[in-house]
Amino acid sequence: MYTQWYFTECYREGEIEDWVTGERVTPFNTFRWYVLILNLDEEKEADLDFTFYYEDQCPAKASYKLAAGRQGVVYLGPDSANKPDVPLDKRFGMGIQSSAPIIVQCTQGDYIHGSPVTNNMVTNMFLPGPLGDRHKVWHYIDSIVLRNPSPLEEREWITLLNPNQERAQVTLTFLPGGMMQHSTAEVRMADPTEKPFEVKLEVEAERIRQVRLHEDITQVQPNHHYAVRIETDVPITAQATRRIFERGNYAFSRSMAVLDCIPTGKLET
Amino acid sequence: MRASEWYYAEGMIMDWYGDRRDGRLIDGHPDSADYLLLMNANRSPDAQVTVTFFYEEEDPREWHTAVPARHCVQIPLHEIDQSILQWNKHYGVRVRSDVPILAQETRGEYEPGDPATNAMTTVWLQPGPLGDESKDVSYVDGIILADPDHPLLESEWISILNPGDMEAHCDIIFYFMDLDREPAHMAVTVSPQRVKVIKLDDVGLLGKGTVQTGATVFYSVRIRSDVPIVAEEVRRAYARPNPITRSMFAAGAVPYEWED
Repeated sequence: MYTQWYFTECYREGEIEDWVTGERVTPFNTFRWYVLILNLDEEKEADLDFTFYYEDQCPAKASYKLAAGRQGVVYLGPDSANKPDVPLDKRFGMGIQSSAPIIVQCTQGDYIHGSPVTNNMVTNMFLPGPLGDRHKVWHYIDSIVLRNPSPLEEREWITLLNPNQERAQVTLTFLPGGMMQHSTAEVRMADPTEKPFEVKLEVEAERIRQVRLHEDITQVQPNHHYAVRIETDVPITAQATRRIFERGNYAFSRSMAVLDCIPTGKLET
Repeated sequence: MRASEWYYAEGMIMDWYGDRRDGRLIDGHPDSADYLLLMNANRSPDAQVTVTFFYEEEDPREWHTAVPARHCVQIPLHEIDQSILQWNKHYGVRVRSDVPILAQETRGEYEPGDPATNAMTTVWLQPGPLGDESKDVSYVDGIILADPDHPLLESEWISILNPGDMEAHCDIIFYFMDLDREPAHMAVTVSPQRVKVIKLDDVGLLGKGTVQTGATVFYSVRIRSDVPIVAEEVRRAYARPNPITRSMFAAGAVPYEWED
């Protein structure tokens, strides 16, 4: 059972490019995050120390208590009664250190202004720590940026959380993939000549970093499917997020998914 | 992680729209899609893969494919022959390969005739072979929204896949946020090689009384079984009275005593 947990990114949307006009636009979603915690100790109250990690500032701290054998929620929305005194108006990652064993799950929702109905909803389990060698190689295998004349647009990014006191040197490897054709039982590659490629980057100590596949990595081809390998020199956590828009309508997104990365260690033989 | 066996507990290809009580057909085209992603990181050989679909009331059915070495493949399950993967029925999935692979699942739900994904979720499959850790699994975020007049309607399901050859006798334990409520128990039996789907809105000990009192119920779930199982939570949100899924998520239950 675990007393230390991590979550890589709670997402908050800023400006995006209108892929029809090329202008910068800002969707007007309201974001709410719920951190759900189950105290596995049925006799002891849990002391919970949260660390919030950001792209552009030092970590911030907050503390809570959770009754023995109970579920609790830390609601991080704009109208939260128990909202911590930390910045929540930009994307952030989290670490939790507990005095008792816990399990933690994060559910994120976004809402169109004024509507109580959840427009997008995602949930993920936090990742148990402490982080070790296994957390130096990560994978996710459903990566795609959809950008074509059809109404379905998909944007995607990878976020990395480096909770260490030292900078992380990261290599992203993109392995081109294909779609199974049921009629022929063959895999159809978007471009059979496309080769795996690498991208190197750094993540500052105690920071998160977002890498937009649709804007920041020029080698990523729209409408091509990839698997992504993430390798670092220090243990980190990783998460990918995909956001769906209806082409030409950027007032709000249609849906989103967190494409959780998993720590795999080295796979190749 | 070098697994050649993977599981998820809940899939469904819907060719009707609605809140799964409506049942109207839309020209026989699916309004949901389920993609299985497989990656073979090995330099050789190709991975020979068997995908087994488990149902609530019927025997499992198998489908075979191959994943080339150093490739990832996106498999649209909703295009598999319906004699193998039946539409409008819940299914659980086992993926077996002759070499280690990775497996992820992404699904979407759509408004009829609209290609933009209206609701989407993705999960990693649970690596096998299933052992003792898979006899005690949990997830944290459960909710029953109480107000029957609120514009937001949420429904929640637990799917339990028993891929083994013996009955699974499960004790589902609900832990509440409400300090005055002691954990509640629900006994469930899952037949061998079957999946069982429980709509939590209909579980009396959670919701029915509280709807009348107007209180939302927050709870966590622990499932203890006498044989290894795989469990998954699914939540869908609707804008009442529109029966089309507005948003959704799925989460695989994790071992209660989680060990790397």
